Amino acid sequence: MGQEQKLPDSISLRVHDFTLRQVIQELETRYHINLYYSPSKLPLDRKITLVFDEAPLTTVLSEVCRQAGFEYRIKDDQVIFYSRNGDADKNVTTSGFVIDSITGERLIGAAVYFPELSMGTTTNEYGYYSISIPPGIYDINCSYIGYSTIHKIIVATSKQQISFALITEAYEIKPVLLEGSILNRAINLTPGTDVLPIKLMESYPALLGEKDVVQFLKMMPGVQTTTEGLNGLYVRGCLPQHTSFLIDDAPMFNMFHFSGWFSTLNPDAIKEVRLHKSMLPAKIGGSIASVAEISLRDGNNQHFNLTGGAGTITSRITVEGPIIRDRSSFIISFRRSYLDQLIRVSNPQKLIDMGKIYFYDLNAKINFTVNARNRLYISSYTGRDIFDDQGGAGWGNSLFSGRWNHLFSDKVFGNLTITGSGYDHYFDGQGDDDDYYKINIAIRNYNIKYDLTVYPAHNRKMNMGLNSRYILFPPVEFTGNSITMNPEAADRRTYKALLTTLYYQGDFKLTSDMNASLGMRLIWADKIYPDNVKTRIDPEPLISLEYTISDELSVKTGYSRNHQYYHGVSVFDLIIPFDKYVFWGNNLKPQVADHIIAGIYYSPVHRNLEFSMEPYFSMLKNQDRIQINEEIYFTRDKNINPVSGCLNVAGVDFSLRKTTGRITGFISYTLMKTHKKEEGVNHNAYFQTYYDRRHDLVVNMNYQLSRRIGFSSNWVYMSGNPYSLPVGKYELRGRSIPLYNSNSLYNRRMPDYHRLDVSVKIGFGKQNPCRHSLTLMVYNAYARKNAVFYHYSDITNGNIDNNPNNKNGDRLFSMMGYYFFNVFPAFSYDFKFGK
Amino acid sequence: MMQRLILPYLFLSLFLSACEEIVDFPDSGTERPEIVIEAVLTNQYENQTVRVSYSTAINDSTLSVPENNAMVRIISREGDTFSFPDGHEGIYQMLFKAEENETYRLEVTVNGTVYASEGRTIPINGIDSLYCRQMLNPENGDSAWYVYMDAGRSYPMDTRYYMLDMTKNEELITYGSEIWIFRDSYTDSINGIKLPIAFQKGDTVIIGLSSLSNSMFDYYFKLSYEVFTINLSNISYRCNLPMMFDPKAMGYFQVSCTDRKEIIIKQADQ
Repeated sequence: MGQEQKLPDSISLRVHDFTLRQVIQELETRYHINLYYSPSKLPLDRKITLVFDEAPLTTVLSEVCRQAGFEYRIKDDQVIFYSRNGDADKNVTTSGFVIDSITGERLIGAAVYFPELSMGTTTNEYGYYSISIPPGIYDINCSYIGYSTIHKIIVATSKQQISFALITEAYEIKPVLLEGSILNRAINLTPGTDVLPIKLMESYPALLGEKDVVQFLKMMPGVQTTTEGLNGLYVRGCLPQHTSFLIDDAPMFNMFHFSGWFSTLNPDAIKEVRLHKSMLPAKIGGSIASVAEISLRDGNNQHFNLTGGAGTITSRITVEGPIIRDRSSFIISFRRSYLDQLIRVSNPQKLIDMGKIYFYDLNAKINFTVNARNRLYISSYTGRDIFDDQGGAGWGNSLFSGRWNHLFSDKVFGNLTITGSGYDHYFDGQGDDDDYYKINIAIRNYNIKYDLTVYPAHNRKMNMGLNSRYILFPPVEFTGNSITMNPEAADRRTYKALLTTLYYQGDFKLTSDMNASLGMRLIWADKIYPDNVKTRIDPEPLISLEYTISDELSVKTGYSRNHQYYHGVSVFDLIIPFDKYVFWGNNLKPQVADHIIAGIYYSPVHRNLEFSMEPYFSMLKNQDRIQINEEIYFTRDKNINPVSGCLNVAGVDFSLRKTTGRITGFISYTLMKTHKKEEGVNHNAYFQTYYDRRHDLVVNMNYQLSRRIGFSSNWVYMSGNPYSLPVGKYELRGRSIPLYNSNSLYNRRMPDYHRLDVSVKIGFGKQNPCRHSLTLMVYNAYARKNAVFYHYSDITNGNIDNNPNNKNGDRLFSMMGYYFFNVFPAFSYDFKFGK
Repeated sequence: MMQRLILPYLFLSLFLSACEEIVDFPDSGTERPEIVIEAVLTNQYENQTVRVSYSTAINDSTLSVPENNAMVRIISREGDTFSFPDGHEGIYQMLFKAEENETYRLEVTVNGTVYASEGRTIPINGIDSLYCRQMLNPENGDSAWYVYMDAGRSYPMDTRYYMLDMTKNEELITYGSEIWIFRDSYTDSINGIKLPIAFQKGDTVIIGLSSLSNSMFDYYFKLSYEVFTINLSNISYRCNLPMMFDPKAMGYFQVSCTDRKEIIIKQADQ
């Protein structure tokens, strides 16, 4: 192909018994005609004779094609030669992989789009795409968040493999490109799915300067938290137990370090985060509200890299590189907090006794391309939190994921997944040898799944598979001699359940403007032990419709039903996760949710904006609350008497993203109402939940001053949390107890929450192999005192006083407000050696 | 040098974090005062105490308003009635000893309304022995004395729930927020229990071990949860403590068998 140039109107060409190859050379060299052709598809050695003087170009090209037996077409000042072979009425398949040009990593969710056909698809979790199109010559665009879009022209006459290597400038600070998300939004059929702009995570002003995927997730529309410093995400009005995290398909039960401030994953190891809100794809299940699919990076299969950074309280390092270039690579990431070490070094007088308080996590992943049709991925993770200062707590996850991709044909993609994951946490009170107790709780999960994706000629995509999930809740282990704990009382049985799921989801093109997706999950839920629980078979239907009004505007709607077969018990909400799960059984029914979603998506490409609005309504049944008592960890499941309830959520998410230019950013706004009803509570009337943040607004803005200096800011606003204001107080055992109005639960709201975070990122180092940057940020820049919670207490002389014998002042019943952060400066230093 | 760099940053960070302040109560409206009854009945021949009061508004400087015109009486299962004399500051006291394994009904009449609750004196094996040991006090690193208790039990006893009270040098320690309750459903004994208060030589300590009903145990558990935990008003599920009276009134009626023993801290391994 020559360089792009305007085509001449007429040319002169006199050749005798020239090969087609020589004719093409003549056209390219003498007239600078941009020729596009596939050498393997043309008879380049065929002899041609031409005698033309100042003849129209089209006349000359027609004669060339006549003699050589193929066709041509002029498109955008390019001449395309293509073979006549193939059935003009039959669709042809275009398939391939989309990879990062520098690292060789396969990209998930990259959009492959044919503008002329208004058709497109996205790559699957393994970077593979396949699409059937009518024969012809088309523009094809491939784009992905943070990468430059690739435009190609293809001649589709027979099935062909077209792979894309997308280019990103990996390190230089520059405005983040989000072009890919526009196409993703238009193509993805399932409403409620959001792909996190991971590239923005590198520049947003993170708490403590520690960029983190969960903190970033909280800024997405529909994702909320009760308050700072608490574990769990409240996605579209549902509880944290209703959201699952899948790390390379393996579930992680506790996604949080350090009481919810950080996620358990090193951000440098994350490739993509895809959040399914309310509506889950058929191949994903197990939760009734949402699933965050987190894919770990495969590692650079071209070059060795060393990446890392040091923040206010953690340091992290990632090593990656090829094992066999182009075929196999590895990545290892490690992160550890060092607040304990800093204090140990700087505070020899033990002024602050932090004990052993730290966390760490370690990711490792390798992948191996066996051949063009087979590829293996093996991922593992281990991480732990220690809060141990003469008694404390600890928790940690471990997981393993093995996956085998097999390409049966260009239309059938198969994947076998085997995962295992475990979660443990302990809680102990260790005074000395004579007064000691320790509780250890564990969860185990094993999963095997075979997933097939078929790309038939007329249907756009079919996904089906069989999944078997084995969940174990071992008995609570108890050791010690505390008077308040009794090991003999504990239930010694391991509760086990096998969830087998057969699923199907098909994406269909109903008309040229309308697409539909129909899915069904059929679940066999078998509580293996203890017995006497009948096996259940539950269907989970899924339907969604998309109507494309124009290339820039589409509307979608959908309905789905989901089941969850365990209920979460949470005792301590603050600081330490201390949760227990109970299977469905005699007194507990599986949780069921019905979700209805609609959405409008507007992406004016030339204005570099993406707007979406998704109203939703969810009805959650069997929201049974397991009452907390001192025996909860030892009680047999059948003896648990829950309070039955239901939950209704209605809301609308707005999202506006500015995609390119010096100024980038996003606005996320959620308007939501969550109402719960429980038997015997609030006179059986609906009440708003404690996490009902009616308005939730995040404004993120990034300004790129120069290639090296960028500014970023967040402004976060949330309605205050509801709380129950006492109507009076009374005296028991000499201290004041709040008196509540029993039919006015959560009748007040705390003051609204808002804060401003700002940061500046300065880049150093011009080129490879070493580049580094420094980020300075201020969290809560205008020092807003955002109360985290209220506490009712007697106070004397301004201090909490629970001793009724104290006569040293007037005792007053008071409400104390607690807040974590006033204004908090932080820094982060990041480096990278390699490409 | 490193310490110079780190310390200011740490202190800055820590001082600017994790703060508390008193918040003014919003107007919660006017509520009718609720009657509150606190009653404990034991099998010890001692002053049995019933306290009757009213709740007050949250902004009221008084913790409670005593009710001195109540009529308080206890009725046994056989119908024997024991009336308390008139009260003072809302406190009604009467020398009385409850029988073991007997059900008693408490009736408090206020302004013509009779508030009633029942409870049974669940037998208890009592404290076998108290002894003390000298150990390092983990709070301050000094040497301190700790009291241990043996309280063996034999089947079939239906005592499942216990409460401990402790008096140190004639001052009741287990009052206010200090609620020591535990459960002993399946074990033969509760021997070798270390009590969580440090003492000094010469202290006089009286330990009381009382049986509790399931409902009283639950009540105290919820009360301690209310008092001890950082009760996140916006997160923890907040509601009134269980109602034990008919018609509904705040408070409790604890009926216990109690055993008390005294120890004077004077030497090791007594």
